[in-house]
Amino acid sequence: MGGLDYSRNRFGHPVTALMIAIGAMMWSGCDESVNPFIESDRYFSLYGTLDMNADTQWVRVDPIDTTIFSTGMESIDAAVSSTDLNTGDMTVWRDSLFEFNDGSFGHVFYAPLRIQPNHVYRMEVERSDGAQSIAETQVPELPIASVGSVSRVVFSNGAIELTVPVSWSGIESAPAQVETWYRFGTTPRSNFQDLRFAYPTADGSTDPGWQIVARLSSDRDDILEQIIPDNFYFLGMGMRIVVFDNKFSPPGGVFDPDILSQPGSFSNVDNGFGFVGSIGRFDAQWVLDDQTALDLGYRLPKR
Amino acid sequence: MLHTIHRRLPPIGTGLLVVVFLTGAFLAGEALSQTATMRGFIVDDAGGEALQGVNVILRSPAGEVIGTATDSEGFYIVTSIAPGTYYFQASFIGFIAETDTLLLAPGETLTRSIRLQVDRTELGELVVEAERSRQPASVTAGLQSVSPQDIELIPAPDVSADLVNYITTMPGVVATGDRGGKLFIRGGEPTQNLVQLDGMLVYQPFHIVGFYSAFPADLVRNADIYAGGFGAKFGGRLSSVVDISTRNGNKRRFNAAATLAPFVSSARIEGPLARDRVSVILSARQSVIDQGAAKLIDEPLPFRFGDQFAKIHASLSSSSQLSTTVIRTTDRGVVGLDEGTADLDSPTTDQVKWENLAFGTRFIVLPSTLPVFAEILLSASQLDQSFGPKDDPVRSSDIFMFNGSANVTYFTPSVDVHWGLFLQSSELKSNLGGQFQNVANEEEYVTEAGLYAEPEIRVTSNLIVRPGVRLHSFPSKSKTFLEPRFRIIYNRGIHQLSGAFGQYHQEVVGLNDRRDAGDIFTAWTSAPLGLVPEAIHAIAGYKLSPGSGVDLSVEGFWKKLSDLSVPEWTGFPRLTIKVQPADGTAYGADVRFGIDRNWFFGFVSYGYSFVEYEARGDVVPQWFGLVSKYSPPHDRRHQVSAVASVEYQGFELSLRWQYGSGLPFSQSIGFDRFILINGQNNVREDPGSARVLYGPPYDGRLPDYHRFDVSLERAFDFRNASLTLQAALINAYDRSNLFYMDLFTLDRVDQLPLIPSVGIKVEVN
Repeated sequence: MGGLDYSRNRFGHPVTALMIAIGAMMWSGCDESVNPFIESDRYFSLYGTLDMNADTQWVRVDPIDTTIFSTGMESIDAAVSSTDLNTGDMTVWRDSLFEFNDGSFGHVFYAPLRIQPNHVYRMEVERSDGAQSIAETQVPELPIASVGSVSRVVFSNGAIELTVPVSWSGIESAPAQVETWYRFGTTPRSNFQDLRFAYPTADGSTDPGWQIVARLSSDRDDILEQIIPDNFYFLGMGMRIVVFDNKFSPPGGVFDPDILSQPGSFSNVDNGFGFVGSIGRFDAQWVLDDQTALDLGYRLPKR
Repeated sequence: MLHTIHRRLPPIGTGLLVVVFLTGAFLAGEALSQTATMRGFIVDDAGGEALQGVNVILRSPAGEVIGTATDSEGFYIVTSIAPGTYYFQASFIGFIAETDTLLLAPGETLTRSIRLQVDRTELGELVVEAERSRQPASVTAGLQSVSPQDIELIPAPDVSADLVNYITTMPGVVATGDRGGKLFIRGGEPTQNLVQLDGMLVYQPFHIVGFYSAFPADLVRNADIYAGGFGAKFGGRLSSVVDISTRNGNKRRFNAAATLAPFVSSARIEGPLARDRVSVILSARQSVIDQGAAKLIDEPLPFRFGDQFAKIHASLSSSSQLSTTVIRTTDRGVVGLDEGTADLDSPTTDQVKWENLAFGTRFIVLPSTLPVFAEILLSASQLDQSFGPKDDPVRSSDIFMFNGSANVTYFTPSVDVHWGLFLQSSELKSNLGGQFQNVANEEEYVTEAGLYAEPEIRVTSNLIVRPGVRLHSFPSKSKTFLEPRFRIIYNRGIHQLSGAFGQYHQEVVGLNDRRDAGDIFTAWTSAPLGLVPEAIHAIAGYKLSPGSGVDLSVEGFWKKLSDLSVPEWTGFPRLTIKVQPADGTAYGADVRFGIDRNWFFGFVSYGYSFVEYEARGDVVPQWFGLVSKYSPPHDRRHQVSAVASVEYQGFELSLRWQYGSGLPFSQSIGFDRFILINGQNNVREDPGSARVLYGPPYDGRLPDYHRFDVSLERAFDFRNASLTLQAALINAYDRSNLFYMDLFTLDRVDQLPLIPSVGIKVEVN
C-alpha cells in the first residue's frame, strides 16, 4: 500500500506549515472593531400631513442620529422650506420645539400656508453642509358631490329602509374616511348639534369618482339612542369625506405600525425616512324632502 | 424535579415487551435453519468496560476463516456458521487473546461473553490506549465517532476534558460565543440537535460557559456525532444527532478521582456493587468560575453551573445487561451587557437559568435462539428554564418528556435488519411573559409515535447500503410522515465514498429571540403557526486512509429547511417579538486532514457553509423593498480548526487554534422617532416611538473570530494513585473576540480574554 510516510525527522514539515497558516490567519483577522452603522445618504425623517382645510401646516423633522438616547431637545441643524411646484412659490418654515405628553421633545416646523387642490408641494430639509432630504406630495383634487334620490325599500313586515346615494367625482381611490352627519336643534333658530356616524370607506367606485350610500334608516336607529327626536327639529344632513393624496397608501392597505415602522416600507422621502402626505376634507350637505324626514320620525321646523 | 409519569400517557410497556416476540415470530424460519450463530460481549477484565474493535475469528480445520469485530457495546455476532469444529480467537492489541476450540451444532446459538486481560508482558496500559483507533479526520456520511482519547487532546481550561471542546473543533459546528451553550451544526439551530445520553434525551446539555457540557471525557465511552443524514433510528429533530454512550463503572475495584481548577472542580467515584456483575459510577462537577477564573482575570464572570451523573450497570447474564442512568445539570448566569455588574445572588438580578434532569433505564437482551440484539429503553427527560430575578422569573419554559422505545437488530451474513418502535409524550408549560406576541402561554401535551426499519445490506464486500424508512406520527398536529432515509458506503482500498439522505420532522421546537445574542432563553413549544418543520438532508463524502495514521476526508452537505419558526424583526426597540414562518437552505463542504503518530496527533479542518433563510412573515418583505432572504446569525462562512498534541518526556502539549469568519448581524442606519402617519394624527401631539433604522436584515458581518489555546499536562504515577498537573492558556494571544453588541447602546461584550489556568487531578485506585 502506498501510504504516506512521516518519519520523525520529517515531522517538522506539517507543524511548520500549520504555524505558518496560523500566523497568516492571525494577521488577516486582526481587526477587532465593529461598525454598527451602514454608511447612508439619509439625513432626516419627516412626518406630517398638509391639510387643505388648515391655514397653517406642520411637519415633524427628526435628524437621523447615531444614538437612541437623544432627548429631542438638542438644537437641530435643519432649514426647512416648501415650494409649490405649480406656481413656484416658496415658503420658509419655522422651527418650534414641542414637549409631548410622554416627556419627550421634538422639532415641529410650521408655516402659514394654504395648500391648493391638485398642486404639488416639495418639502426640502437641508443641513448646513448641504445634505438634503426631500419629499413631494400632490394635494388631492377638489371633488364634486352629487346627491341622488332617496331609495325606499319596504319589507314584508312593514319596515322601511331609506338610503340615498352620494357620488363624488374626481376621486381616484376610496376616501380615507367617510362620515354622515345629521343636524338637530331644539328650536329652528337655536344652536344646533351634529350627530356623526363613521362609514366604512369601501362602498364602490364609479366612473369617474366614488359613490357612497348614506344609510338613513340605520343612522336613524343610532340617532334614537342619543336623542329623543320629538325634542329636536331636524335641520339637515351631510356627508364628509377625507381624501388622501395618491401616494398615501400603505402596503397592504392597512396602517399597521408593526409593518410601517420597518424603515422604508412606507415613505416618500428621498434621502430620508418618514412620510409627508396631503389630505383634503370635503363636505356635501343637503336637505331631505319632508316626507322622507317624517318617515324617519324626525320633527321638522315650521316653514 | 422529575415529574411522575403523567397519567395521560398511554400505557406502552406491554407494547415494548412484545418487540422481541415479534422479531422472533417474524424471523422464526431463520432460527430453524441448519447453521449456527455465535455472539456475546467482550469486556476489559480489569474493570468490565466494553471493548470496541476486538477481532473475533473462527477458523475451521480446513483453514476457512470467518469473523467480525465488536461494536461500541463490546458486542459481536457471527451468523450462518456451518456446523462443525472451530478454533475461536478474540484478540485486541494489548490484551491477551482468548482462544478456544468450539463444536457448533446445527441451529445452535452460542453466547460467549469474554473478559480480556491486559497483556502486561508486552504492552503497558498506556500503549494500549495509544494504539486504539484515533481518526480525527475520519467522517463517513456525516458521522464522526469520538472517543474519550480524542476529547482529551483538545486544550481546555481544566484538567478534565469535555466533549463539547471536541465538537467545537469540527467543521460546520458554530458556537456564537464562549457562553450561552448553543451549538449550530451545519446550518441547524441548537434546538434542532438531538442529544442523547445512553438513549435518553437531554434537552440543553451544553453549559452556560462554552468549554463545558454535561459530558466530561472520563464518563464518555463513545460519541457518535451525525452532522446530518442520520438514520431511521433517530427522529424528531431537524439538524443533527449527538449520541453519547457512557462507560460503566469498574466492576472489579473501587477508584476515585478529584480535580481542582479555576473553572470547575469535580469528583468521581466508581466501583463494584457486586463483583464482576454490578457496578456504579458517580460523578459531580461544580463550577468555581465566579470565584476562581474571575479572580485570575479580575473581571466578573457571573456564571454558575454543575452536573451530577450516576449510572448502575448490571451484567445479568452473558446475554443480558441492564443499566440505569441519571443525569442532572444546573446552569445560571447573566449573559450580555450586565455581566460586568451582575450579582448572581441578588434577588433583583435578571439571570437565565436552566436545569436538566434525565433518568433512563436500558435493557439489552440477546434472545437465546435468535441472532438478534435487542434493547428496550425507558426514559424521562425534563428541562426547566427561566429568565428574570432568580426567585421571581418573568419568563419560564418547562418541558417533561417520557420516552419508551425498542431497537432490534436481526443479523444475517449479508443483511443486518435494524428496526424498532417508539412512543414519546411531552408536557410543555410556558409562561413567556409576552415575549413572543403570537405564541400564547399555555400547557400543552404532545405525543409522537412510530416505528422504523432500516436494513443494512452488504451488497458486496466493498459496498454497504442502508435504506430505511421511519413512520413518525404527530397526533396533536394530525400529521403522520413517512420519512425516507438512506446511507451508502463504498470502500475500495484506501478510498471510501459515502453518502446519506434523509427527511426529518420536528414538532417540539425551541424559540429564541435571535435579535439579542445575550438573550439565551429558549421557549420550548409545539411548533407554532400550525406547521411541522421539515428538513431534507443530502451528504456526499470521500475519505482517503493511506495508512500510517493519516486520514483525509472531504464532505459536502445540503439541507433544505421548511416551515421554521423564526423571530420577526421590528424597528421598534421592543422586548417582545412575533414569530413568523420561514424556509431555509444550508449547504457547504469541509475538508479534514489528520495525522496520528505515537507521540504526535493533530488535525486541520476547513469548513465552508452557507445558510440562508427566507421569511414568510408580513414584515420582512417590507424591508427595503422585497428583501425576504437573509443570512441568519449563525451563518459562519469559513471555519478553520487546527489541533495538535505532542507527547515528550512524559509531558503532553496540546494546541488548538480556531478561526471563524464573522457572523451576520443587522447594521443600522441610525435612530429616529417613528410616527404613524395615517391622516388622523397630529404631529404636534404624537411623540412617536424610538426606532432603530435597521438596514437589510443581517447584512453586516461581525469581525472574524480566532483564538489560540494551549495546555501542558504531566501525569505522575504512584503505587495506587496518580497525579496530573495541567497548565493552560485560554485565548493565549488575548484576542478581543466580540460576543455581542447592543445596537441600541452600542456597548460591546467580548468573549473571554486571556485566562491562565492551572489544574490538578488526583486519582486513587
